[in-house]
Amino acid sequence: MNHFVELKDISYSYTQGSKNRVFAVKDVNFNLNKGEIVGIIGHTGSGKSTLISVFNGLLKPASGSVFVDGQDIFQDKKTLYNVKFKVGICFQYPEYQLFEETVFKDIAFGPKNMKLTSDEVKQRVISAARYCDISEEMLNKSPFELSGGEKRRVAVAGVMAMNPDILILDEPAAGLDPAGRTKLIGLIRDYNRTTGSAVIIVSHNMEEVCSLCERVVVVNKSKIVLDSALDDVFSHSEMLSSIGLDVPDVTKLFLKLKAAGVDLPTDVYTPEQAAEILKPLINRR
Amino acid sequence: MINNITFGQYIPGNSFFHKCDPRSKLIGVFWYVVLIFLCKSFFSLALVSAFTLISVIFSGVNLKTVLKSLKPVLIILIFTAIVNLFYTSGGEIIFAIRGFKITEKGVNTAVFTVLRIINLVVVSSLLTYTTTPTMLTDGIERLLHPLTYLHINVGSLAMMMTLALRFIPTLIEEIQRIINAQKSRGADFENGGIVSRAKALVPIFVPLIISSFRRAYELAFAMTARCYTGGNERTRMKQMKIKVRDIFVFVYCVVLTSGIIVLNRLFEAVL
Repeated sequence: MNHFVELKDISYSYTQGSKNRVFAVKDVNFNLNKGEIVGIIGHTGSGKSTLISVFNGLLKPASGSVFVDGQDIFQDKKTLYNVKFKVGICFQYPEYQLFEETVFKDIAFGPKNMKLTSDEVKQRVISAARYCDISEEMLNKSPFELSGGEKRRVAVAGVMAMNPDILILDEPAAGLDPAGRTKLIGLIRDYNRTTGSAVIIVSHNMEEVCSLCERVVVVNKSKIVLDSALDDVFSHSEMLSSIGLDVPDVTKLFLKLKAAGVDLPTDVYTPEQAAEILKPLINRR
Repeated sequence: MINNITFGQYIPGNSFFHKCDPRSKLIGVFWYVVLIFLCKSFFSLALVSAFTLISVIFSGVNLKTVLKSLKPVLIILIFTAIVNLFYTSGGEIIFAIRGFKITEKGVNTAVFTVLRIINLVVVSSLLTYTTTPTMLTDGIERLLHPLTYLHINVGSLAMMMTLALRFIPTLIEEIQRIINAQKSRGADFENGGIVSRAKALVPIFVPLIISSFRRAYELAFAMTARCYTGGNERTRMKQMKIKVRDIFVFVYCVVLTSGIIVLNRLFEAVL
């Protein structure tokens, strides 16, 4: 048992007990190590969100077991409670869960529940605020005075403040403007690098996944159909499009150019990579 | 947890009652409720119960689902039964310990009241089982139409009701989402005393109320954008018409009424 998180043969059904069960997650096996940064991609309704709710025990799978840090998280109530601090989940549109009078208090909600001393809580809040680029002035404001992007960052900071070993973000950039999107993605990357925590990003934006993740998990019809390195996953472009997913726009462009007879590689996933490859070609002219 | 409530739900179907005009169903149920309270003896109550059972069969709703609707009122049923059992005096004493007496009249009242409540709940849930919320509010709107002469805006009232009903499932979903999010941040709803449990609800209700306001604004804008101005002059896509089966509903009620009057005359009153 050397993986930090292990999901073994997990199945989950929302219609538990009825005859014609429909599984939201079926026979899923998944391992994760500290420090990894993984993207989970899949079509709407493929079971992504259900899958992540199993990670911290919000949903108890019908069969299979979940190990976090070597412990079966469903073994007793206390383990089930404490796993929430090891696996921090930030759901879709997390800004709607803000409730405190000030941003500071809201970020402090998680650490307070961990029964930390007030000094420790304060430290946690300040460092989480730093990770999410929240200024000191903002900490004293009401969360309801902030803009959409700022609210989102506060909500993410609220989860980061628990110092989870794994940070799971469900569509973290959905509904943000391009600037807010880029900023948030950058902050998540920095968080992963400085703290060494594992990060899981659930998304159906391929650009986002490509710019962040080293490993990509493809979920389709309640199952994991592919779990591999980024390059490998996007080399299956036909399979991806058959399950309603897509390769990044840049890759699409390169595939088209290749089809048109231009001699170019097709394992290009970010605009930066593309620029790198195209630069010598432009210079040659 | 909150998903198992069948009371007040609509169950799609194609039965006799599903096809009835909501107005006749509303009047019928109202009439029926009055009748339940007019029953004086067990015989008339038995007649009502029989009619209720027939109505359930006519509605095509699964008997199991109907029984499920009684689940939320179970505590009320038990409570009224116990209170009536111990606090009604008169008649023969059947059983007595330490000053608590159970009398014949007490037993009768308890059974009678419980049967009444069951009939009430079943009949009123039949109404919601067989009528969509929209139909129901349309029906209420039409029935309240005379109130417009008193300068009451019935159309807006009906629209408010429709919207309120429409948002129940949305809010349930929303609550579940907020609970999950706060649980993930270590919120604890299961342990602690009453005070700490009540405090634990703050992180749920504050976001819920805020998002309800947001939804209300968004909805208001969306309605304004589609030129909704309220008022009573709005016309309907589906006009309601009284048909033969609606007349049958009235006949059904009339028959039951006369049955109850006769039985009340013939037999001694329980209460």
